[in-house]
Amino acid sequence: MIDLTYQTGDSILHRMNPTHKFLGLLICTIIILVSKNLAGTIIAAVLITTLILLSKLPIKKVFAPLKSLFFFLIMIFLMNALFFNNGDCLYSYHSICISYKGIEQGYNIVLHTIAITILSSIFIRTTTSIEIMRGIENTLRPLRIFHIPTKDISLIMSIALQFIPVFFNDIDRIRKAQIARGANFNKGSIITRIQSIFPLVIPAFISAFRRADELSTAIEARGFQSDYESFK
Amino acid sequence: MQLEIKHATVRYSNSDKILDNIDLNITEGQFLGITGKAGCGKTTLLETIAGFHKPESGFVLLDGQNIYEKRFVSQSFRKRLQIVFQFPENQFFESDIWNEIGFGLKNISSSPEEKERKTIEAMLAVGLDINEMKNVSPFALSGGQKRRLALACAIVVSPEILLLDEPFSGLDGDGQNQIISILKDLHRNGTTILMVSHDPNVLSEVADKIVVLDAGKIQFNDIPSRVFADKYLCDKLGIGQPETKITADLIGLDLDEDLTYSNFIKKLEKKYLAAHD
Amino acid sequence: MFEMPYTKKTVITAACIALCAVLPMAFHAFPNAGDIWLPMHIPVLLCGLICGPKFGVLCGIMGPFLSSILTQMPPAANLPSMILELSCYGFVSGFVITRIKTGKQITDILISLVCAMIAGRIVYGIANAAIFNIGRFTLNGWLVSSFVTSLPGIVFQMILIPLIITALQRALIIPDKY
Repeated sequence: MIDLTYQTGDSILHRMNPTHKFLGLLICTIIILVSKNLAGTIIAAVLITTLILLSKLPIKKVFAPLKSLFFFLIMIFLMNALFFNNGDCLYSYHSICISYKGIEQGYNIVLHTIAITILSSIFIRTTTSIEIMRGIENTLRPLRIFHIPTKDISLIMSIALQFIPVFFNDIDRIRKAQIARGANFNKGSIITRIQSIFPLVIPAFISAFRRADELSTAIEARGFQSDYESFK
Repeated sequence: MQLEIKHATVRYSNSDKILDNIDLNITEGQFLGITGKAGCGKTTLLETIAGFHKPESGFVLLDGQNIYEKRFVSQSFRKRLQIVFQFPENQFFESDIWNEIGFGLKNISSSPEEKERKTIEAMLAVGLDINEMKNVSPFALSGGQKRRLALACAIVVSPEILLLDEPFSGLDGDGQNQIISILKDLHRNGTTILMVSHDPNVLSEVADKIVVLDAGKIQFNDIPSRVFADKYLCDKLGIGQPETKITADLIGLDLDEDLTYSNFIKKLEKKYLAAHD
Repeated sequence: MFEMPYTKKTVITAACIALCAVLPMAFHAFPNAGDIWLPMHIPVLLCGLICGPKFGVLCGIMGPFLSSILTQMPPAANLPSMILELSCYGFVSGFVITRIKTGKQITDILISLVCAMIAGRIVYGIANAAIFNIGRFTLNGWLVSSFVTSLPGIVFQMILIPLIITALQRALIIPDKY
């Protein structure tokens, strides 16, 4: 089981029951989403600082995903600050309209995005994939009232998790085999690179589906009973 | 053609050495078997020679030139050396056999007639009927046919050197025999072959020399009869002995450094006839 | 649609979800792979086509979610709109293919794909305009990002997906439609 983002640690957050953690994540997300402007910034800052301290995670790692968002965030802020037009412009020039409303909205979107990204970063780094799955499974359980087959859903998610490292290796093997046959993934014209996608993607899907086929036969032979059919 | 591995050490990131100071000289036209217990580094050795793992120290030299000199291994190298991975049928993607084999020819600058000729040659060499099979999808073939198709895909470019990783995995007796006969033909025609296998029977049947790896180091690089001579050592290295050797030892038969079945039968006949004279 | 046991559809959906996480990693070698080639769309569309709308929706929800958790791609902030768009793909592709019967499998598939892609992008546009990014989302922007930048991806998918389905049928992994 690969855990690309999990950081081993011993904090309160690491040891916390994953279901509670997941629900906590959802609640914190909602709190952030309804807080705006100055008050919102303070609430978000307090919440995040507390969580970072509780998690004992290195700050650099927590803030890492923000790096790739940087450009995106600037764009969003500018688009709102400069172009949001509902009549109240402080300064306007053609389609550019700088307004309090626009700046405020841009700010809030950026604030929410940063806060939620950090929240999810903390969550992912303190929770193993198995725990995440369990947390989601338990959170979804009440939906059984609506005849939604939550057991099947969590089975699907665990199988998906188990498949990931397997498929990763398969694709690596396929990539090497095609490179050996002369495929060009890293150099050459755009055309050759495009043509090289098919020899990578098609076998990847075939081998993935073949494994799925074999696994489904195996679990059926071992007496798998679906949730869905038990609702009928 | 000179293929040398000099003091090569290969390590995956953050792990122990998979290959430790490997020195290997492969002569032209040789059939070299590579064996060892699971996890000893056989596949990594093959992949290193094929240009997929740059050694952390040491070199892989083809005709004196370091294949890892530039960032990407050259296409001309790929024309001279082909590798068939384990379970190669996982690489198929074309809608018919003709195009699947032809994929390897895309980077060879030759005329369409030349490409057609080479594809037909490859299909013949592996025993796939051209008329029946031309338009069949690779996915519709049987296990043995798929394996032979994968072999065709590699030999279509007429490589000087052919690397194979466990080419017999999952094949029945017939399938295995077909592959062995194809490899023997290639060997007879001058192709240098490096084959990873854990089956001592096949190795003693086809290999000129066998390299035994243990924990990333070469323990043996010798003819089959000397590699498989000592039962205790073979057990320790996890490689087993061929049936011909085991049986010959049991009945006190001298195989004269040749562990092949044909020699075994010959020597057995002689002994039987001598005993009944 | 494709007559398969429920168990098989379940595991195939799991495989497609896993591919949603793995494929984008494989596409890293290509520049701007995510926006242009849309690697995450392919497993979802396939899941919807092969397993039907319910599984397609599940794949569309869980795929990007799992990928975001494990590889931070797409980033958590983009997740809601991506989930909405992809679950729409999964649903519509499955919905259309179960109901359409032109007699030729390839036509069925292509029609379902086109419907799914259009529906998904419309939903994505509405969601972004109405819920997620009020005020900054313009019609022009939507048209460009949905159809122009991703044109190579769209063409790629229309070619790739029928090829994959045919290969799967030749390999006897999924049954023929007709």
